[in-house]
Amino acid sequence: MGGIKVKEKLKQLNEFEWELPKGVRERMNVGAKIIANKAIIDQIEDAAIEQLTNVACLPGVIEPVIGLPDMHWG
Amino acid sequence: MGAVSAFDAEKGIISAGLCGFDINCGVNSIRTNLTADEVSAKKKELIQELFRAVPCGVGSKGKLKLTPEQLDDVLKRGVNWAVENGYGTKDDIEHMEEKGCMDGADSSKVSELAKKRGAPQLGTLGAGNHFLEIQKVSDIFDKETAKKWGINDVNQVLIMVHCGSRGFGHQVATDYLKIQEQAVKKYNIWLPDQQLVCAPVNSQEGKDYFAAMKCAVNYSFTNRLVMTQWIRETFERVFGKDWESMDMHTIYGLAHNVCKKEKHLINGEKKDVIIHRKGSTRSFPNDTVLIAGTMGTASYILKGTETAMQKSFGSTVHGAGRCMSRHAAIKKFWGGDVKKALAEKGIESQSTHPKVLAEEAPGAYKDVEQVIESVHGAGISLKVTRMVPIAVAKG
Repeated sequence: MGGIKVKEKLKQLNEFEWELPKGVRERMNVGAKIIANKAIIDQIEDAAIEQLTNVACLPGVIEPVIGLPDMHWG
Repeated sequence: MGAVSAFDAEKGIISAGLCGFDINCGVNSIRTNLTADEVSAKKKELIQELFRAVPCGVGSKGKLKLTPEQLDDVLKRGVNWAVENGYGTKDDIEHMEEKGCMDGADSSKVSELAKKRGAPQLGTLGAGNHFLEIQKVSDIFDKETAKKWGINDVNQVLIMVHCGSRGFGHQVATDYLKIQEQAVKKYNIWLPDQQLVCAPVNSQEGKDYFAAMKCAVNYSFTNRLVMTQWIRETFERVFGKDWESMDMHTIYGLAHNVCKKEKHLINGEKKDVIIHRKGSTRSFPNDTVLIAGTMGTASYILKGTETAMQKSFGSTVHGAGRCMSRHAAIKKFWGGDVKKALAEKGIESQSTHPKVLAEEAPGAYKDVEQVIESVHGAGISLKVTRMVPIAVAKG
């Protein structure tokens, strides 16, 4: 992803929901959403968020791919 | 991963990569009517006895030696096999996701190698983040629901078993990762990451994986129920009472890593979808949701909600989630220190190797309290009880 941090593209919807719109990277079929408070978001690695956007590229995926507050890379 | 994704049941995919290696890694929670004081007095003896009764560690083998026919029965019929053979009761079955058996499991889709690995391991805990924990209830947030699930008081003792499908599930995943790697080429699927190998859900490679994965799901449900029975027998020996009089019933048993076909409301229309819960718990309205903490930190029981149906395909979190890799944790923590820190908090711990304690040190995980505040705040599952450990056995 050429060093661009996906995390910086997170849009806060409310206290507990964050959106990664479909356009944040190429070939995403749908957007992603993360359910977490600010303290958790601050701890989530960029690689874990990137993984969510990868899932959003798979065929037939339904809006949105959901990241939960225990998300981590792996 | 800590994620949930849904795919169209006609045009979508099913992914061995996304479901991962520990198929139906999950949790069972067993209640007791014992108090923390009663159990704490015997915690050392209890954890040693449990460690003996439930085989732990990488590649550990159990006391059961299944014939190929018996293993087939487990794969197809899940916990029904267990109950017929004296492990658990019909009441346990009623308190498990899918009643401990997914329909459509086909053992002819499972390799001989997977069966060879699975046959001697049923009834074993394994290693990694898997554990068996004696807990006491520290807080009750929703008295009415807690009571319905047999939790009446703070300081009541519960038992949590966290483990999966062992070498069997790992081999099923390994086999199908290879098969689906080919499928990706065959069906010309563009992948952003090779970890996400998959196959069209209605292709042979997709259907075969689903049928084999269900075998691993059933194996794992059975694994946890077999261990539940051994835990009951251990308590019987240590406390000199039968398990029924200690009210040692299953509160609930569920999966944290699984693919399922479910109906969800998509753009106002009820549709079949293929759900991948990877490090995620089902959270249908009024479902019991079990959240495994990490060694030395709190665990939670939550209640599923309608909001989860609308926001997260009926799903919520599964645990604290790592914030540090196992490798980094081993570098940072020393097993002996971790054991000492646990002991200072009054937590008895036993493991096959100190390294296991270091890998799973509480500092390697996110703060479970913040995780729970997030899902409770978002409304995708609501707090019922919080538990803290008294004693823990690790692989």
